[in-house]
Amino acid sequence: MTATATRNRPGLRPAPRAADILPRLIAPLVLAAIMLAFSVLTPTFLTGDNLLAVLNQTAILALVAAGMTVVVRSGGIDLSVGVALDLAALAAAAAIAERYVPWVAVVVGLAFGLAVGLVNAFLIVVLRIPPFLATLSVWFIGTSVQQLLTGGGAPIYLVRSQVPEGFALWGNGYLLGVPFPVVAAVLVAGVVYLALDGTRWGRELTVTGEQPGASRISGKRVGALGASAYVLAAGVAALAGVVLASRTYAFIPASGQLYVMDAIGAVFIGATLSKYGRVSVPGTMVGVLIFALLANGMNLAGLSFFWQGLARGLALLLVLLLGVVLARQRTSRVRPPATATTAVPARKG
Amino acid sequence: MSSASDTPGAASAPLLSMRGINKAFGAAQVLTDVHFEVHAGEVRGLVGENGAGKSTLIKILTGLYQADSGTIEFGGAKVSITSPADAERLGIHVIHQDRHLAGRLTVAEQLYLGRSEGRYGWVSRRQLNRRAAADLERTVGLRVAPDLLVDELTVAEQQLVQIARAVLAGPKLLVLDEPTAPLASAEVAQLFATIRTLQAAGVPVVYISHYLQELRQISGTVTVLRNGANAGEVDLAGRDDALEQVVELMVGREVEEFDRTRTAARTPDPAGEALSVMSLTVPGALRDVSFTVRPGEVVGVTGLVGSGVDELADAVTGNRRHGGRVSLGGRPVRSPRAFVKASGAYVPADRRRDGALVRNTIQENISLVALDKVTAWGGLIRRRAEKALAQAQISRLDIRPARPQAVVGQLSGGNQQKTVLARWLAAESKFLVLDQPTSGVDVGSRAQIYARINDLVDAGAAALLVTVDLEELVGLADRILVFFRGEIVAELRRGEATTDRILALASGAGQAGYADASGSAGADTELEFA
Amino acid sequence: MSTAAATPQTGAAQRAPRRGAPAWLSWAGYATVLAVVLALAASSPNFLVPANLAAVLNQAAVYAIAGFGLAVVIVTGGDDVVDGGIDLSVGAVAGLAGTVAAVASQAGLPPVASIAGALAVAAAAGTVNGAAVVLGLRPLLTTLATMGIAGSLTLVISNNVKVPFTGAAFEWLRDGSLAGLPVAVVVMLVLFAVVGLGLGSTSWGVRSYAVGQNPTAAKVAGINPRKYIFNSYLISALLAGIAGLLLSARLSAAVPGVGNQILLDIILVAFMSVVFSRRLVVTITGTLVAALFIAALTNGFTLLGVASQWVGAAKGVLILVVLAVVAIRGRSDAK
Repeated sequence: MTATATRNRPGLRPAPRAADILPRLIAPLVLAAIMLAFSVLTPTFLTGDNLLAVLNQTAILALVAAGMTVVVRSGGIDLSVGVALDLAALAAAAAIAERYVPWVAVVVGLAFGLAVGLVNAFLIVVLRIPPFLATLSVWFIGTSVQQLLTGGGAPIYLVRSQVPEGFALWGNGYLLGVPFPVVAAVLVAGVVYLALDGTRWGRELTVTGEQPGASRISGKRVGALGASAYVLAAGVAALAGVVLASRTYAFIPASGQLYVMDAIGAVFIGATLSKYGRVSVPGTMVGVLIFALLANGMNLAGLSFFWQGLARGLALLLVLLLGVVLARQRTSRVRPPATATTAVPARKG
Repeated sequence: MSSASDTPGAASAPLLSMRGINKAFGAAQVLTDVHFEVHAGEVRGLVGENGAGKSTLIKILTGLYQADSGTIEFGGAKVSITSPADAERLGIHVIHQDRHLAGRLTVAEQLYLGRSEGRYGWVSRRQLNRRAAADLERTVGLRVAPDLLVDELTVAEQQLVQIARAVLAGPKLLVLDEPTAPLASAEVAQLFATIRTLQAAGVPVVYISHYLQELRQISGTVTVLRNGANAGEVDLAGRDDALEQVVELMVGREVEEFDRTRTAARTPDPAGEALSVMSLTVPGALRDVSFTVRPGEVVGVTGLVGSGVDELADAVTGNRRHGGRVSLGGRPVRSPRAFVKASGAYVPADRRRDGALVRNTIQENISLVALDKVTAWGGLIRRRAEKALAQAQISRLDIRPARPQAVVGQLSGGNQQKTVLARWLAAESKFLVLDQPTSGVDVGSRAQIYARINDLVDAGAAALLVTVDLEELVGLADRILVFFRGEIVAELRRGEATTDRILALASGAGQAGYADASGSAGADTELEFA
Repeated sequence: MSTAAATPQTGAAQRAPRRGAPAWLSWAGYATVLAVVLALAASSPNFLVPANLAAVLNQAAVYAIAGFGLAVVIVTGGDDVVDGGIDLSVGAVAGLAGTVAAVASQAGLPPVASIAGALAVAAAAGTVNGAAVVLGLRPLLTTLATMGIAGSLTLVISNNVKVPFTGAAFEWLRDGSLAGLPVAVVVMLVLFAVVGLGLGSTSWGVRSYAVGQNPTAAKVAGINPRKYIFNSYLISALLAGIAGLLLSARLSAAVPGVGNQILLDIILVAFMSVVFSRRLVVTITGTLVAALFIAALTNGFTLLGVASQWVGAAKGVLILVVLAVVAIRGRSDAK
């Protein structure tokens, strides 16, 4: 045991080194840099009103990304959250247009979104189709379903004066001076964070995502855990859809898909905050804010929306590349011995 | 004799000479002024506990790591090796402990990968397959269709393919890192024959192994590393107690692996029944297997590759679909969950994939099965209770480092395995299924794992031990079931089981009857206690 | 790609039970395709008309060519979509290449220069992808980023309007024929031969598969995985560029946003190729068959008068059926 003992230095907690932590600080630093740059460039950027407006604009992405975080933690990916969002918005808007009471519209919206999650869960857990491809297919099908339900993709516009207040609140209301979408996003992000990192369910979900074999052997309900992630993500996306329909007083087909790629980007920018590349809600929110402030700052600076994809793409590449390059410098100096592997466990068929 | 004498066979100049090798990873000095020499035509053993620096030394030799200082001479000339390709160019070939194979390549493609898949970059599959079949048969005696995918081979066959690949390259020096870990005894014999052929052709072999008995059969001199430094060299042919000497050098103290005084089997409750297996059938692996394990006994299971023992642990624990009935404590086992609910514990063979949670802390590893003990209302995990749960097991199993927050991926193999066992101890499981529990585990940790298993069984638990390590089997099991081609061919009680006899039965000699079994097959692969 | 050919029948090979998926399973994939095509032919008299078949082939060309590139990436990077090889930027790069060529020729550059410029831009995107992945970024995220960048650049240089694709050379690309086949189809077949033989029957191919299966195994075998991975993204981007040129030629204009529309179909054909392989790996032949199948299906549905929104749904359901079959097949293999 002497050999092991010397190597691991029992009882001595290795002091955190700057080189270990730096790669994990990149995303927050980039966020700070963006704030600094735009507050210098545009005087209106760093005002309370503007920032609150940014948060309000970002709420929907934040919701979608929080759901995506759960799915990625479970070892999967969900390209169909946009469909869940759209179908929820469609159902809610249609229900309001048909003069149903607000709570019915909200419930119907959430139910449509959850249905997408259940389909995903069935495909991935029961049929064991790889998540990327299963949710890609659902994206295809969901897009067609939208077109079928709207007679070829015609938007639904609600007459603002006829929308009951109980529905309009979801996207336009305020709670203690804070826009309701922001309240919803903060609440949902908080709950998801607590669930993932503080509860038994979150622990088991994480283990299942990283080492499904070990989880199964330990008697966990691997299938149910995976299914819960897709249903939860779809449910959160559906909430985002209801908020969107309420805010815009409309349903515009295929508007949900815009959020999917940004959500994935935000989740993985957030993963750079973890030593093991594990995704988390706080990290995801850093990623969401980077995208949001970038977009807002560019708007204020008068750049056309043509350039926004470029800026987001570059920001994503920059954060991830810096993380990898810095981490690499660290490992070339301090590489753990081969027996002490931290590698991701081998996958198997 | 045991001191760090320079060259035991000093007549010729060494083929390989590594001198003054130093290597540090950050603050941790892994190798300190290590020297290592290999002469033409010898089989040089290299031993040491996990973390002693064997693998690091070999990785420096093959260019996967660079030494901080020191020189390597090969064939009389100073060389610099910065990549595996450099090493191969010099004729140094390594079979790594982790099998490095491309799963969905065919056997033939894998065999010649990176070397001569075809002529002028053009691959003719027909020629490739024909060549591969002949080469596999000639070099390692393996007969498989060369167009099978590597994934479709058994672990042992994969290992043989890898060895064949190295032999085919016409190596000047072959390094085998724990080559026999996945192999059963008959395949070990085949491997040794291959090594002897190489040796006869003047090609030296460096043989790294935890199995000291194997070294005695195949190796002349062993180099012992301890704490990243030379501890000494031992000529195995020299003295009768040479192996004990090796162990002493490795650990710096004497280790008692098994309780030798315990020769009689425990007396389990004859009426009790922990595990009952009725007509268990796994297509292509097991046929109509029935046995029981009673509380208070360890039932050992062994067999060669293809005997079905590889599938047995997975089937019994509900991890593999099967026909027949398995019940634990009277409750049917149809899924891993049912198995765990019935107080079953499973320590799987593939530790890094299915056992240890490599990105989680020791604490999170240990609480995994017993989470309901530390979960409060609303599913929230009570960290303090979780930590206490972990700390109890850390001291019970002497897990190092003894920090609940240490990440398990960074522990040695032995400590990872102890953590996996601790997970089940924390859940107070009453029935253990242990599949190759000490593969890649150092001597010290091994003894601790055996001791804890014995404690549990003495206290009324039961265990099913699946292992290819016959030493372990004879040392630990109260009853031994020997499998051959998917069926149980013999049941031996403690005391009547010897490694020779088990080996004979496992290789099919037992079919004719017990009487003449023990002598024949065991002869050329003499195994004995250290 | 069938490898189930003549093996020397040693005693052991006869005795050992045949392991792995039997060869007929890969024929089941082809049989399904054939059945669907025959059903379309039976229900629409206009389907098997030469002009219509040429249209199907023409339509398939874009997806097939870009699909070949994506297939190379998946083969070399491994087929786990989250950690393995994937190139989400193929659609956007195709769109960007088409736009660059259209804008360049509108600005008066000769066709050769416009095409060279377009391919150079595509190669640049491939270089970024390859370099970032080799540095250790996840392919999914890298190509997600370049997808955004390429899409944004397309908007910038086209000003988000349709750019007409004019000039005799591009008209020849659209309407011309070689040996009785449309130019795009000839290009597809030539690229099929080159990439297919390269991946199936050369050391480069075997090594690419090895790198994708297990990079460490490849490294231990003396192969430099980075070289193969970098090249795979370069190849993918170049093929996407060619596909983009052919697409713009077919539409007579570079249409902004077209890149995102074709992305899903390209991913679909590359992954669907797995169905036609005994090893359950992505292949070039399979990609071609899948592209033809998707084109035939879209075309057949149009002939049958099915509304376009049903085509998307049908595609989705179809993929799911295919994937479920693969997943169940893989499951019976594994355990």
